[in-house]
Amino acid sequence: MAESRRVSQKSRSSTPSAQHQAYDGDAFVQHFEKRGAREIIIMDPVGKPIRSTVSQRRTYNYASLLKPLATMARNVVRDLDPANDVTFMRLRSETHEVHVSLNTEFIVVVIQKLKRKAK
Amino acid sequence: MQAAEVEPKRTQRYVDEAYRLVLEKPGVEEVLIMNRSGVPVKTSMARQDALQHACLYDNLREKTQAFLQRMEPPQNLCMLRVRTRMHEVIITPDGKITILVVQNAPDTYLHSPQDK
Repeated sequence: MAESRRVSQKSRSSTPSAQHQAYDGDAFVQHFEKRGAREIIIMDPVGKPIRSTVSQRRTYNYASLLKPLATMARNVVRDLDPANDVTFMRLRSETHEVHVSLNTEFIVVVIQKLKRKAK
Repeated sequence: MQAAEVEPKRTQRYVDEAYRLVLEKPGVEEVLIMNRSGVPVKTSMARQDALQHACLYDNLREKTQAFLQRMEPPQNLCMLRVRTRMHEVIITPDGKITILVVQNAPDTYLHSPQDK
């Protein structure tokens, strides 16, 4: 996984379409794309975005809103039980689902677009 | 449960039925149902625990709701799942009530690197 990230860093350029193309060979991103999730943001534990498949502005939006939410969830869980800690958070709305995976080294955010089933 | 544009009426019978159905599911540890202002209506926990859970998780749900509203397009929260090391908490806003379920889903992923 580390190798594929290095590859994508080398071929990344500044235009948005090229940025999407740069992640085409990335196995990590492909794994999520199979499930319909194209948007992945990786942040360090502080909340600064390290890697992202979305545009700069949206990444910044997501990161700046999700990090306080993740911190708040962690506080809630530890208030109830000091030995407990959050590992994963899933926010589901009508059209999208946001997965936030927290651990000591990274915060990984995956945004998945849900397919509408005909009712 | 059909999704309606207008908030559907959630009677006491509905609350009891929902409570009973959730408790029947495997792995469920505790259930808490609260009304719109976050006050526990029906719960399987002790009074003190129930109040604490309700207060804290309702807060979190509001913040999550605010986050989703600020995203494009503005969306409503359907479900919030917080998975911790010992259990998983599922919060579902549903019309005028919010259902909070604590279920037993121990996270075994964190142990696997240590086992090697």
